[in-house]
Amino acid sequence: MASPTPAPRRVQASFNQLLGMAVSLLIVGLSVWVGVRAGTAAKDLRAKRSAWEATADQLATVQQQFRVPSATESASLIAESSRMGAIAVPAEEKLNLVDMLGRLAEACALSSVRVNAVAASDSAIVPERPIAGTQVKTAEYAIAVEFAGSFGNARKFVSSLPPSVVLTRLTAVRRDGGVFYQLILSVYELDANSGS
Amino acid sequence: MAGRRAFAALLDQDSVAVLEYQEEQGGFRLVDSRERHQRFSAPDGAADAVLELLAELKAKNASISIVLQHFGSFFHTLVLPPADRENLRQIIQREIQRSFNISDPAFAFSTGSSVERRDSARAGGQVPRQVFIVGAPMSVVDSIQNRLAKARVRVEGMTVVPEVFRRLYDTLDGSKEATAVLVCLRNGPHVAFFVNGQLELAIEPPLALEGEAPLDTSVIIDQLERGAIFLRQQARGTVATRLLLAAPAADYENLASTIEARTGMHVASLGKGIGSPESVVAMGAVIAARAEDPLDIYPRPPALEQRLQGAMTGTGLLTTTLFTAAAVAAFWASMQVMVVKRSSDDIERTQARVEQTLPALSRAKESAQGRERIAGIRAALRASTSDRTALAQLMDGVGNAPPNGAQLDSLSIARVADGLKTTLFAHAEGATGPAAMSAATSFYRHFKSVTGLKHLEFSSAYGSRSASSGVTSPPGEDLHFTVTFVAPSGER
Repeated sequence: MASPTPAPRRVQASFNQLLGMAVSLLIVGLSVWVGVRAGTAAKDLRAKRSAWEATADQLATVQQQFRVPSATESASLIAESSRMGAIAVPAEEKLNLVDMLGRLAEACALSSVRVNAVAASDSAIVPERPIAGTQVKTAEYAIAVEFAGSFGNARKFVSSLPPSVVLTRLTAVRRDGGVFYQLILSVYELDANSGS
Repeated sequence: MAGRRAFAALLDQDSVAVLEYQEEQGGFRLVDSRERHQRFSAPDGAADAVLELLAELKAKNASISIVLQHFGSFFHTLVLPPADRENLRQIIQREIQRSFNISDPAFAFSTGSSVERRDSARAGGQVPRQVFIVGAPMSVVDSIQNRLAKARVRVEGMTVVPEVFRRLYDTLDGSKEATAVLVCLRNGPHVAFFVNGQLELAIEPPLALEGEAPLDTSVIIDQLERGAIFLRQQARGTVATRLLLAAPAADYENLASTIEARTGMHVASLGKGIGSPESVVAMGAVIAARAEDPLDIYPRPPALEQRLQGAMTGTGLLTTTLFTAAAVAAFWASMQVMVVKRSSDDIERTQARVEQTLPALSRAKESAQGRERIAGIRAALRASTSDRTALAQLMDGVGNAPPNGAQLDSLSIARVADGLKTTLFAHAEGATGPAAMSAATSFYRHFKSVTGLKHLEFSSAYGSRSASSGVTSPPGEDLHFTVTFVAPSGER
C-alpha cells in the first residue's frame, strides 16, 4: 500500500488546486468574452453574407439575362454613334455652323440673309438632350438669323434646320410689301470634358 | 510489456547492481548483469549509476524493479489490532516518525498473519496481526524518481532488502521450519529469521570497524548468534535449525562449513543459480514487485477510481465543476469562433463569385451603356425631327388661316416651358364694325379648330376715327386684333 500524502505535498496539492480553479475561472471568463464577441461577429457576418449572396444572385441573373449584341447590332450601334455629331457640335464648330446656316437660308431662296452669333439669353427655354456617356449642353452663344422672303420659304428653312440647333424665338413682320424674319436659334454643344 | 527490456537493480550507498532478465515459463532467466562499486553520498548518484549501467547494456526502453538499501530506508514490523486501513496508516505514519525520526516518509505496509502471544482469550476475539512496513524518506524516493523519470525508465516497484528476503523465502523455500537466511552482500551480512514461514526478524549488517572486512567470518558468526538470541527472546525460545545462504562463490564453501560447525544449523544455498548475492537480491526485487500485495514505496499516480472519487467530493468537486465549466465554455467559444470562420469563408466564397462575375458584367455594362447612348441619340434625333415638324405644322396653320378680310401683320413664336407660344398680330377691315369683327373672329376660329393648341386667346381694338373720314372717305372699320396660343413643340 502506498504511503499517505505528507503535509508539504498536501500544501502543493492545495496550491495546484487553487491554481487550477484560477485558471479555470480565467478560461471561463476568456471563453465567454471570446464567445460573445464571436457571436456578435457571426451575427454581423450572417447579415453581410445575406447581402453578398443577394448581390451575387442578382449579378448571376443579370449575367444570365444579358443578351450579347450580335455583329449586326454592333455595326448598327457603331453607325448610330457616328450621328452624335448631328445632335450637338463641338465649340470650335461655331463659325462653321454660322456659315452653314447662312448658306441654308440662301438655299431656301430667302433674301437679305444675315447670320450672327449672339449671347444666349438666360431666359431662353431650351429642351435638354440627355445622352448616356456624353454631356450635351446649351452653348453660351445663340445664332440670330435674319432674312426676308415668303412664308413658305421661311417654313422650308425652319424645317431644314440641323438637329444641333433649336428654334427659341421667331418673329415675322410684314413691312414695305415684304415679310422680314428674325430667328434666334439655341445651339447644342458637346462638352469637351465628356467622351463623345 | 512488449518492446520493454526487464531489469532489476540494487541501489546501495556502496554499490549498484543491475541485471537483465527474461521471463520464461516457470521462472526467470538471467540475461546479463553489471555492478558498480563506489561510495554514493546521495541517492540520485546511485540512480545515475543505474542509468549508466542501463546505458552500458544498451537498454533504451527499460522496465526495472528496485531494491533500496541504506539511504534511510527501513523495514519494520508491528503487531497491531485489526483496524481500518486508513487508521492503520495514520498509526504507522506516527510510529515511523517516532521510531525513525523521518518527518516525511514514503512508506507502504501490508498485514500478515495473526499473532497471538497470550494464553487467555481476548475480548471480542480481536487477535492482533503482524504488519510489515517498508519505507524511506520521501526526498530519497523523489530524487530517484526524478532521475529515472527523466530517462523514461519505467519502475515496476521499489522496496527494501528484508521485504526481498521475505518474498525470496516464500518463492524459493517456504518451509515452516525455523530458518535463518543469510545474504552476504558487499556491505555486510544481512540476516533474517523465518518462523512458520513468516518473517520474524530481520537484521541489517553491523557497522564495519576500521580495517575490518565487512564479510569477515567471525563478524558473520557474531551477527548470526546475536540474531539467534533476538529470535529466542522474540519468538518464545524458537531456535533456527537451518540456514539459507547466499554468498560470493569464492567464500561460500568456507562460510557454510564454518556456520554449520559453529551454530549447528544445516546450511542450504539460496538462489545459487542466480549468481552473486546482489543478483539474488535484485531478482528478489522482481519477485517482490510482482507479488499480489507488493510493499512498493515508489510513488504511483492514484487509481482512476480514487481520482474520480477525489474529483467528486469536497474541494475536488468545486475544481471539477470549474474545470467542466471551463471546458464547456471553451468548447462553446470555439464553436462560436468556428461559426465566425465558416461565415467568413462563406462570404469570401461569395465575394470570389461576385469578383468572377464582375469582368463579364463590366462588358455587359459597357454594352448597356452603348445601347443607352444610342437610344439617347435616337431619341434626340426623333425629338428634333418632331420639333421641326411641329414648327412646320404651326407655320402651315398660320399660313392656311382664311383671309376673309383679315390680314396678318406680324408673327412671334417663342419657346416656353409647355410649347411654342405664338402671337399673331393682324387687322380686319369691314364696312361696319361687326363685319370687321366677323372677319377677325373667323380668323380666330380657324385656330380654335386646330387641335392641340392651348391657352388660345383673342383680343381686339378698333382703329380711331378721324373727323373728316366720315364725310369724304368711304365708310369702313379697321379692327386690330391679336390671337395668342401655345402650340405643342416636338421637344420637351
